[in-house]
Amino acid sequence: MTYILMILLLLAGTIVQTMSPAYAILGEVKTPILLAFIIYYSLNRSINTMFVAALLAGILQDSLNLSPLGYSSAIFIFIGWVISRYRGLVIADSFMTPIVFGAISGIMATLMQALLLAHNEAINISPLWILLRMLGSGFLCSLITPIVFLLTKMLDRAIGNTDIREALQ
Amino acid sequence: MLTVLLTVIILLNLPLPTSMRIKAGAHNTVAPFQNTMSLFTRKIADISSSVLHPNRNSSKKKAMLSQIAQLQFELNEMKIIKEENVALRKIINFRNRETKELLICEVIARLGSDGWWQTVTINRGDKDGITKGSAVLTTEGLIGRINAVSKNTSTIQLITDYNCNISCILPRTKSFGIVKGQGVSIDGNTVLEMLAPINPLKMDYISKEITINKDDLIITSGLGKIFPAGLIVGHITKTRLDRSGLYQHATIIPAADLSKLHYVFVIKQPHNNKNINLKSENPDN
Repeated sequence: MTYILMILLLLAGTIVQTMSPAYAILGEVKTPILLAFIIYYSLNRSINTMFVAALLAGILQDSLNLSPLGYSSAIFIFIGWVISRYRGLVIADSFMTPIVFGAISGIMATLMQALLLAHNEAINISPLWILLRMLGSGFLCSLITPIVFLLTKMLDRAIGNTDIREALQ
Repeated sequence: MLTVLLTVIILLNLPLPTSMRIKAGAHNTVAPFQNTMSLFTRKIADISSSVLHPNRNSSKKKAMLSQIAQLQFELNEMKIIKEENVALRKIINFRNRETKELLICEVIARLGSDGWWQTVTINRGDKDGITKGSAVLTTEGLIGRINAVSKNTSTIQLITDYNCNISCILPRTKSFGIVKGQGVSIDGNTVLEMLAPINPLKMDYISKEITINKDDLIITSGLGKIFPAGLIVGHITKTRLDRSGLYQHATIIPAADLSKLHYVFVIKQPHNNKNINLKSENPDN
């Protein structure tokens, strides 16, 4: 059930992320809903489930833009793995946890994406513009992650998808 | 964990055709939902618009917009013809003078899924006869070309995308150059200008011998064979000599407002150009 729900959520997240507006003042960055799902799976599910979610989310994100396939997967897996390593030190149910992790992850994901794309000579944007994008991504991710946590937890509870053992693995 | 890492390494090293097939598969999976959601939001917008402005008729508006685009396109062509002298007519006759068929499309998503790329998604695809490489314009001018086509949607690579190069000409001086996207579509935003210079487009390789004026018009030359000749691209804002001293650069403002795209027009390609290979085209690549 975890995987079926995950696929449906990631598909819905992709559609909403693609159709979300991109504000110039936030560096034209899209609301990172897929990244918020990865943070959720990193804090609340086993590392294997998180890896599958990160891989799928990355493929979906890269498929709907001109990025080479695999860049987003690599970034999501790295971020998910780092969060999983430190999740024992934080209270996953705290309201502040998704906000803080969202902000840090948003900034890190944008920085990593910029470095990868610049290394591949796919983009040539000024460092200041990239900084603006990083801040924009951090801000939007810190806003959307608590909402994603709330909705996904509600869905998980509604369909009885609350295996505590998986979260503790 | 090892399996996932191996999968990522394989993904990163996939051959281009395989990677494109996977992307197309994912695109086709998402496209119907995206279209439905767009249709839903459009209907809500239409209903609220008809309630707030009962005199407006959206279908009439669409038809009129299409007609305006067609007329604007023909007018632009006529203006250029008028400017040409007799000696150049021979060369002009080389280009396709047929009236191009324009297909009106609605923008359903902007800037891909992460905002790094200057792309927009439209609600028409393969079943409407759209092919990869077709030029896309608005009533103001060229906005880009079709980069990917699925059954019901297409992705347009905007002229401001870093990977979009267009062979262009300054009609006043008849000098050629390559217009290149700079990865941002906004201009005139003073808050952002304070952070970094925002230049949506630049033109390279302009002869240093010619004098370029501010607001000089830039149009497509048609040499790359992807974009038809005579489509308005933008206006020059400033110029400078290259560091090598061999040619000039120009900063260009796009004629079309790329940040407010709603309806766009795809120039339908003749069937014999259906399998155009973008990689082999030069300099429009």
